[in-house]
Amino acid sequence: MFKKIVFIFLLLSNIFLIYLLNNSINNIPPLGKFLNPYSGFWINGEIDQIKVFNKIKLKNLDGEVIVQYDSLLIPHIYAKTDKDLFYTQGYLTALHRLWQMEFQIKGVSGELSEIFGKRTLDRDRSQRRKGIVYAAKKTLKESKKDPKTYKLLNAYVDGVNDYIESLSYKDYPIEYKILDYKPKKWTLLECFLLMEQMSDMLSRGEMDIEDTYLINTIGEDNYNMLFPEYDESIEPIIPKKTKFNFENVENIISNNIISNNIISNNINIDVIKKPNKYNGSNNFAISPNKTKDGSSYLASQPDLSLNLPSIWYIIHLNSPNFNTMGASLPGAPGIIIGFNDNIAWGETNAKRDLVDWYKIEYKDSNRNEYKYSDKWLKTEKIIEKIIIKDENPFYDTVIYTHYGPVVYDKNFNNNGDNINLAMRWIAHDESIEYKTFLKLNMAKNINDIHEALKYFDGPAQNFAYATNQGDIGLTIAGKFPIKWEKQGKFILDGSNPEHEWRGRIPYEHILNYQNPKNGFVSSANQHPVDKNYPYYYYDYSYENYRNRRLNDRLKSIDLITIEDVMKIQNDNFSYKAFEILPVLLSNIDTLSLDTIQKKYLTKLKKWDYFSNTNIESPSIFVTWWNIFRKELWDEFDTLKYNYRKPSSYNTYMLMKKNKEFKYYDILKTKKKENLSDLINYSYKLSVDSLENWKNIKGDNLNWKDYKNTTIRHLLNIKSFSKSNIAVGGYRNIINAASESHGPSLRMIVKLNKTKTEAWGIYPGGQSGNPGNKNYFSLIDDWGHGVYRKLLFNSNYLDNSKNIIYEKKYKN
Amino acid sequence: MNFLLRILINGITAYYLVRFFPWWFIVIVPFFLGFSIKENYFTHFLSGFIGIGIAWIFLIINTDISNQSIISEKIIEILKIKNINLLIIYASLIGGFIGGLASITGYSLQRIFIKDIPRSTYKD
Repeated sequence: MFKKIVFIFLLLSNIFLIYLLNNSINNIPPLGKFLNPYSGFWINGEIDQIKVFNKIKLKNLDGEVIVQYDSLLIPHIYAKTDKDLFYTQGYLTALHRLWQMEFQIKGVSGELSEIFGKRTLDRDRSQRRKGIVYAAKKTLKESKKDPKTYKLLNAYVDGVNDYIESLSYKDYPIEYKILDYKPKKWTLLECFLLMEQMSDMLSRGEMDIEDTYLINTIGEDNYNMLFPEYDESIEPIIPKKTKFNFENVENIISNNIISNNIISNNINIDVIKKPNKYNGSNNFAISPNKTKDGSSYLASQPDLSLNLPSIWYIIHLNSPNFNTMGASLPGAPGIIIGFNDNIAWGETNAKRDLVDWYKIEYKDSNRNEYKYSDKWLKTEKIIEKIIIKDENPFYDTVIYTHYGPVVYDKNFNNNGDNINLAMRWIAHDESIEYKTFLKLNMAKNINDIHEALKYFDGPAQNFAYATNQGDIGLTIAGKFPIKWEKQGKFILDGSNPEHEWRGRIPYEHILNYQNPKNGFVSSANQHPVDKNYPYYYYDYSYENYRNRRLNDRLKSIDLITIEDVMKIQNDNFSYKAFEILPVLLSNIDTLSLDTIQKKYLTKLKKWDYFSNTNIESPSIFVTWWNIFRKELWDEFDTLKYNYRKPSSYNTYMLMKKNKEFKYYDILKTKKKENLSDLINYSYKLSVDSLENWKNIKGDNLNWKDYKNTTIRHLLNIKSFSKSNIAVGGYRNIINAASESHGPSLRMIVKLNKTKTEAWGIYPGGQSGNPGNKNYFSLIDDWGHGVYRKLLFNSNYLDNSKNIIYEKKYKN
Repeated sequence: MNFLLRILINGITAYYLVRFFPWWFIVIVPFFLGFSIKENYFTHFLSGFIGIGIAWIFLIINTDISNQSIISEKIIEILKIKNINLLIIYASLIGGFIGGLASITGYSLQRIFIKDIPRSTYKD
């Protein structure tokens, strides 16, 4: 008997131990599974790239496909059919980026709690309540109506799935092993969710709720002074004084605009997280008569969160219909920013208010009907099931109106008030952006480009383009609702039909210009146009620094070369400091300063406004300006709910205009301060703060160390991220590299009749595997403004000298 | 059977064969040896522990050298372990302990089927 007990005891402890080591506990990876030499993390080290490529097995091809990799690990795919081309794109993208592809989708569709447990539940709920999956499903349905695009999208999905099916635990990307979950099958819905993610990142910036709160708290006069919509000093994308001779425009507008009243309720809501307001970019195209060698140039530089694996994946796609290359989004077929033999294009975010909030009044607590004019309309209830790791699922009822989902209600971020706000967002409408990109990928001239952009419904983008026929142009493409003055700037009344969006600006009336006399087009998230444009437009945060610097540079150089274009993209000139610093310095009372304060002041006086890596002045200026703004707008700190503060640009304008201004007063002191008091006070505080930083972090204030640009892994794992990168620039500077945000890609294309040449760089590497030698490979060069020439030939044989791998695949 | 020989069998099978199965298949050979060979708990545990443990050390060092510690140097930061050598030792201890445990589990099963006969009688 005793022996049996011993055996059973040992057997059970064996089983129990293996079970323990095979399962994740308290977010620690399952140690046996993770550390064993056969399939554990050790296997994820990749030094020899050829070994990685040898795993490629393209099973479902119609014809022959040739795959080449160059030394940057950029895949060059030469296929006989388009279906094979996109199948292979899906497969090879997954080979390098599978985890990232899936993780992004889980993030946008609100499924992170499946992996992380309860700590991401609030985030998941806000994603679900925004109606993202609902919108992607609508687009999925719509996509079947365009069989050609549908077929290519499905080929991409098949490619991703064939790669996933080829994997066993040992081959999983390291992040799956750390978090202990498995890749799921990819579907077409994922491709559309990815586009929703783009919208979530680019077209959801708005301040409607915050501004409703502000205007009701500080009053309309203060609000308008602190947050003006428009200023005569701006430099819009479409040059000022451009005449618009649209046909029938009065009719369109008067048919659609019937109201102009603002709702004046106060609102107490915790607003869900917004996209980074510095998501922006710059792009420009230069016509042959302004370049030294007579080529057209296109430069594109999207400023986004800097993450690893990079948001971009460079790829070259070739088939009888396509020969296109550039930056793709992992999870999306085709090229998003790129070029082909004839044209090149790049996008920057076209800021417009594309989200509005409608106050909903339910008939009763059942919430089955809501008021609309003198009727009651039916709601639709969708129950969102959020799976939570190691816990019971969470069920959230989201109520849909004809506007869209009621995001805020008694169950969500409502602070006890019974206010229901429905979200109307352009991303809720079905749209087929893929069609635009696939058409752009094949476009041969400027007419093809215009034809492609017709199908682009958002997130609104400034498309700049150049062709090898010498045309350049810029189109602000997207779906823009026609709005009456200030419509949707504040919360709207959902029961009033006059508050509804009616119609969109017709494609013929969207902003668009070609081949201007000065020889270039450019955009950097500034105002799109002056007041001559007959349609009302609005956004809460137009940029007003990078655009002016960019245009100044382009104007000042007569015959531009490729080196000039590279210099412009890496320009560190701070227009902000150039305008603001003289005002600050002229108010400083030198007599009251001690030695250290004087030392810093000398540095600032000598500064040429270039935010380069190894100087201290940018650190001093940035700190001073931040503290100055904090003390200036300290009146806002008393506000209870979400709000915003005036922008740097408007702060500067107000400073210039007002010698006396009630906001100059520092609330915590008894004295009544004026501008000069405030400037001196904040200067001394900033010197203290800088000295303090030096005591903790190092012996100097070199800009690179002080700002500490970091490219963060999506899981924020330190050893998978890279910090303290030697890169200059900052927010509102063309080289917009700030702490964790900035140029996510730099691409330059040169086009002429003989050939298309391109240069590119991004802070990361093609391989998304932190254990791959290539993972961090381009970061240092990106910081230093070094580019890599991209290999681009329509015949694969011409690549032979520059590739590290080549293989033919067929069924 | 010779103690060293058992270590060798455990080690070699763990080194060459287990890679084709889930990692916990390392229990099978030590369990079988424990079940079929008459010895005591102590040497059975040791033969499993040393056999599997050493095999894992070699396997891991092999992989880690061939990929220049590119991944292990990042993982030690996540697991908050001081250096890679320690991580290799911890991992091998896990393998070794499971191996040893499997071996004595096999042995305890063997003991159920064998009647306790005094040693002197058995020798005859």
